[in-house]
Amino acid sequence: MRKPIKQKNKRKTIRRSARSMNDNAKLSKVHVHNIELIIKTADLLSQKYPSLDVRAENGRVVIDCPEIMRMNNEHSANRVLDLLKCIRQIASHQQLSITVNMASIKDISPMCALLLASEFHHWQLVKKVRLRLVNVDQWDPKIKKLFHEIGMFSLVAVENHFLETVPESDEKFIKLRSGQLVKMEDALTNIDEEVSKIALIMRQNYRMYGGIEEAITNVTQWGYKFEKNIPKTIRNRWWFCASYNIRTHRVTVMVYDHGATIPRTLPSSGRLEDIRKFFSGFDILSSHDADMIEAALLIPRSASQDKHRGKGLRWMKDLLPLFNKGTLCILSGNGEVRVDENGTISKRKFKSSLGGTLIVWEAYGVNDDGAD
Amino acid sequence: MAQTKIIDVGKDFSKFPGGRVYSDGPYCGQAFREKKLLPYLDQGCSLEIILDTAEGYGSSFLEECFGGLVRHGMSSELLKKNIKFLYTNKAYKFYEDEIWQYIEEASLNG
Repeated sequence: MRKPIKQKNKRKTIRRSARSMNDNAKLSKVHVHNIELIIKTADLLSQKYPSLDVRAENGRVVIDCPEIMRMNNEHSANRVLDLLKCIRQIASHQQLSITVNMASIKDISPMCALLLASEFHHWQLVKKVRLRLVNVDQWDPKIKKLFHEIGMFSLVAVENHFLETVPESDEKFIKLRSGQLVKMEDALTNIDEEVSKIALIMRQNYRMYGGIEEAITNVTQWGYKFEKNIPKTIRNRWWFCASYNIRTHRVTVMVYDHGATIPRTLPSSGRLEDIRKFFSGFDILSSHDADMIEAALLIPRSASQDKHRGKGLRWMKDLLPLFNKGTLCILSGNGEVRVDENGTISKRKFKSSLGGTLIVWEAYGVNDDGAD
Repeated sequence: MAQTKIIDVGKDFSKFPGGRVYSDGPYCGQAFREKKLLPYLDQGCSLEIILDTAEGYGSSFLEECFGGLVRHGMSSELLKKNIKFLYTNKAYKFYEDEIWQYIEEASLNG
């Protein structure tokens, strides 16, 4: 016997409501679980990176960027390094919603802007999500302008309607570029149109091309060689940026990777014996990352099967005497080495590690006669 | 009489050469050696290589390309006899000097 239609529909409605309540209960459970995860993650990150402000807010993990983002003093440098590490650690977490609060930044160097922009790009490539700008109206206009000029917004393909009137700065940028092969046109194409001065200086100092090529080749040859779990979109990836300061006539060229770091790859590169001979009594176990970078920079290979390799870092260093004044800075792992045009070396050690290698040339008094 | 082949790096290969081996990228030293140099050198041709039509060179590219010729089995004497470098931009003499140094070093390293 068939049930009357009214009763049948009533039962359907009751069953649908029950399912809906179950779904809501399930959703609530998931929601609570996510909130708990976010709170727990924020707590863990706060403990791991005490120099940072990390909190759970509105269902997201929120990380405040430091007010001052520069590498020129130890405290600031360690906060920057902690921030980069923190972002990389949680950016790959599929279940978390994350906000990096950039409204807190009051001062940032171009180098730190490059480091941060590459971290956002890494995040986007790994998580395969479209990043969004939040609270952009609260950002310091000078900071927003710098990120606009360095090309961060175009790199991560976010819309930025930069409308504020901010005085022109002295630093003119070639926008950030990134690639995974040694395709020099990816790094250098259109620099004439962007900052013609840099193109002119490079043409008048041809060896600068070689220095940049060496830095990028080092990334593909060594940078990620020993990294097993790097996502395909990140493997062999480099980021390149350059700028010209119209007041100081300083050219700055930066190449950065997110690979294994020089101190980590050096022991496996077959050069330990060379290093031990050069630094008598060199003990790899007690050496610091800065010492390892210095060793990589100064010491030629002697192992006959490999003597034809490893010239890149020294080629980069050898560019410096071409200029009136210049420095090569290599920041890798926990160490930094600076060399000037006279060959004078200074080293720094950081508490935190840069997850990769940053190479920066700064050159003053380059031959720019006849430039516009 | 041995034929002379002119190779214009910027026009015949790339204005932006870079990298050592194929895994580095398409315009690497290995590619230039195998595609542009060896086919002619193996036939006994002489080469005139125009250097300054490329934007520049790195040591990895030059060493793999020319040091690699020695490791391929060519003597430095043969290379000195059969390769000439051409450039109007005198700054590119630096690259020529580097190339001959890599060829010598590769010969010494056997």
